[in-house]
Amino acid sequence: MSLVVDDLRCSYDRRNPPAVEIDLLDLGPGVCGLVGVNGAGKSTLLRTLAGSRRPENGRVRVDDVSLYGPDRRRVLGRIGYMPQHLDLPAEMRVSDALAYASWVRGVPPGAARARNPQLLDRVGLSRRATDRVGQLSGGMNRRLALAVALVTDPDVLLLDEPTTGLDPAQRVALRGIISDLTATAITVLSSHVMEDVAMMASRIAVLHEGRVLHIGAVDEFVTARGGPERSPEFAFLATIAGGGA
Amino acid sequence: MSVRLAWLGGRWAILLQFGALLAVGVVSVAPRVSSWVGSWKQALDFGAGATSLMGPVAAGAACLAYARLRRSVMSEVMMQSRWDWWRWLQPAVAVWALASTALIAVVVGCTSIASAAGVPSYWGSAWIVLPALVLLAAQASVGAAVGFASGRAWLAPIVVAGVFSVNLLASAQLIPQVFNTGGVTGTLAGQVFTVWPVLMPAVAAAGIVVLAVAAADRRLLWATWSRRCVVGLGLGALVVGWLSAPGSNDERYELLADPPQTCAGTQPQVCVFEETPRPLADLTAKVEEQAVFLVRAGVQLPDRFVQSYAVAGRDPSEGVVRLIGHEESRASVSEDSATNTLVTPAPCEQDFGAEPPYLAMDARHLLGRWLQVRAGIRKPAGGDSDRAWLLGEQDRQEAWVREVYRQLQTCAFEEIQMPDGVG
Amino acid sequence: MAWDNRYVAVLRSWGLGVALGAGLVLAAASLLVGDVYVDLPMLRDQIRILHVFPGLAALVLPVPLVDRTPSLTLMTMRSPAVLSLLRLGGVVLASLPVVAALLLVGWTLPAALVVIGFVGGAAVVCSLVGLWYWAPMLGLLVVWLQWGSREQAFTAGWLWLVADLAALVVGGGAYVAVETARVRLRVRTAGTSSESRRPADTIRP
Repeated sequence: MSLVVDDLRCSYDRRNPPAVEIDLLDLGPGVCGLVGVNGAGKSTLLRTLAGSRRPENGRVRVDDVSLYGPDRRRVLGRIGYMPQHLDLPAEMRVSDALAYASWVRGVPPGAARARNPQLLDRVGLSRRATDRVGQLSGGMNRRLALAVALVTDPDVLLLDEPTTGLDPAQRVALRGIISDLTATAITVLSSHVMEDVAMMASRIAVLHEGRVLHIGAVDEFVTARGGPERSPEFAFLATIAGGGA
Repeated sequence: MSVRLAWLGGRWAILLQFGALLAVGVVSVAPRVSSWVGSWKQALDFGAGATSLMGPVAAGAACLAYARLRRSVMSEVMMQSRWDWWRWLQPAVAVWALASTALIAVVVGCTSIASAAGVPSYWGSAWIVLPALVLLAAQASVGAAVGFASGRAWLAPIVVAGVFSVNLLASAQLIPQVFNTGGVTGTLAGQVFTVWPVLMPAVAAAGIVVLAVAAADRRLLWATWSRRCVVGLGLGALVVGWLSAPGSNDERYELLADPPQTCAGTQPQVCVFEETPRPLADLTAKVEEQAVFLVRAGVQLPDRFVQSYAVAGRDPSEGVVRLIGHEESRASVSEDSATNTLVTPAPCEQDFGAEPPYLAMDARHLLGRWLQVRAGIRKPAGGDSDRAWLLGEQDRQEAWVREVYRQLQTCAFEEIQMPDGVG
Repeated sequence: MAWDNRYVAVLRSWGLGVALGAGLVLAAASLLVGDVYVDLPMLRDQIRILHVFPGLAALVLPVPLVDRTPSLTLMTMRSPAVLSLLRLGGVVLASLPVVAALLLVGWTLPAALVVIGFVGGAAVVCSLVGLWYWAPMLGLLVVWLQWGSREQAFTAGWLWLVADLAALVVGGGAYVAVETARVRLRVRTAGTSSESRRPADTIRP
């Protein structure tokens, strides 16, 4: 299983520098934390990896199949994406949201029937299945978005700020869900909370002004750059201040 | 961009909304332009009546804005401010301001077109726009309440259809004319707007505004006793306005006892309402052209033909101006209008009685045909029952014409005798 | 094709249940009050309220044509064209009660099918202005009431049928094409608010 980005360039406006500019990024199995300040390009990169935003230049390949090429559909179903805001109608029922997402994403009926209740259970929303989306709290909405991302049982899971709005117990549960993913799966989670990344990810990629300044094991990152207190925050700040050097 | 406009979208979105309001306003007045162009008051009334389409658009725009507001955190921030209800109302005020500006533009456009067509202005009647503006506020607030209470933008089309349907129900007289702010099909010449029937829908509309705000969120108008009193007043205004609203459109206007006239010509003189002077020149010319043939036949014409809606108080020696259809508004009239005027040489009670004066009607019809044949306007067709008489002996025709004209002039309808073989 | 219990969720998610309910309400209303005459200021003469219902249907029923889950649609494994076509088909189905009601009161089939012609018109407007589609449709309703309706509805023949179907096919086709292009365009340009003005938002340590 591989997710490879090469010569990637995403721009919103020709007058401004590209939002994302990456020469080569090879994401193998395991959990990779994508960190950066607000506006670093994390969400744009995740959207691009999810197949929701065609880059102006470059390629995104899942197991050597181009995500924006003619065989796009062969790999799109293998990707689960949890955006920062999932725009579901407020009056939609939680179970309907999941059923609809599985239909739109082309999950076979039998598989959806078996998987959807399990997913609701996994994200702790079984008792809320008949509630309307508008009645859910912020944290519940995030968990529903996570369940929606998981409807295809993806090999690549892309989570944009997954811990926002989650209480400590839910963060622990999220870690459990991520650790339950198969060993061959690729998970990328973006966050600007270094603690979350340090807890959940084995690798870390620091994104700053659209460029990857550093990618490597979290432990090594903290040890090498975290100062005497081995602080993840310090390591992060040192990285972006030094331009990745 | 000001805060109150922010919820309507960017500059272009606001411009488009204004454009949509203006466009439906134009759509609602344009099809009848030939009707209202000849009367300033009718143009004013028609412009004010554009709420029938602009109101639903304002309601839809407000619904979309408030659904957006509800789904943002700003709604809670607004609720925490001291003047929460006023802060909350700002986007609705913005929609209302847009709609009001568009309505005023439509009204000014209509009345300017009428003025340009040569009809005098009656600025004293312009107050009828105020109830229309209050009604727009009510319609916008209904949309705002639905949008905020539900948070569902997709309800906007249903709100639009609902508000439009209320107009339909009022128009069908299934409910009082609470959403009626104008759009009369007559010229309103010789009439004035009646104050209370025109104002009552505004009272009901003010009540709707208050109740809509209260229904949108309990915190807005249920928080204190003083606010609850306002809700009570709003409910009272709605009930009073609803019960006192006119049952039909006609109640919005009343006849003037002696409407001023403008006159032209001498043989005979022709007078129309001063408010609708456009047809006067053409009508006078055509009446004079046709009158020559009556005079040649020895008929004693009235000195004046005067336009009027009522018989009471009329000078029996004056003839009656009778214009066909919407010719009161037009600069040119048909030959038939000139003929109809000439064959009505006196205002007669019988014309307004329970039973139509059939004999007099037949006589006027034949007299008119005779006049048009003589004037070269018409030729009797082969199958016409009066063809033989119309092409017959001239002396006998003129004798009948003189006699019947005298009878019509003295309202002695019972003495009328149709020529042999006719009627 | 086997029944998939997710179809109900799809119907609800697109608002087709609401549209069908609205279609039934409009059909019932047209049967109950269709004979009432209304005198709208903008029209040249009185009309039977029945003539308003095709236009009202075009105001209310097309709601499902507007995508309420655009972020999910971007991730769809199904063809965006098929999704749009299914939405359009659902709205046409929701309009059938109104068509049936008009047939019951004596309109000819070509006249009653003007409802789906309106749906076709609404579809193309939806694809251009989204949830604001009702504003142009309100104008179209007046045009219809002013020039298109009246007693011809009881005698209308194949010419109307051609016009209805042409409006549905052309309008619906344009809707499907524009919506499909929109999804493809969004895949190309979708972004977050922060990136569009990144230099100003960036917090430098």
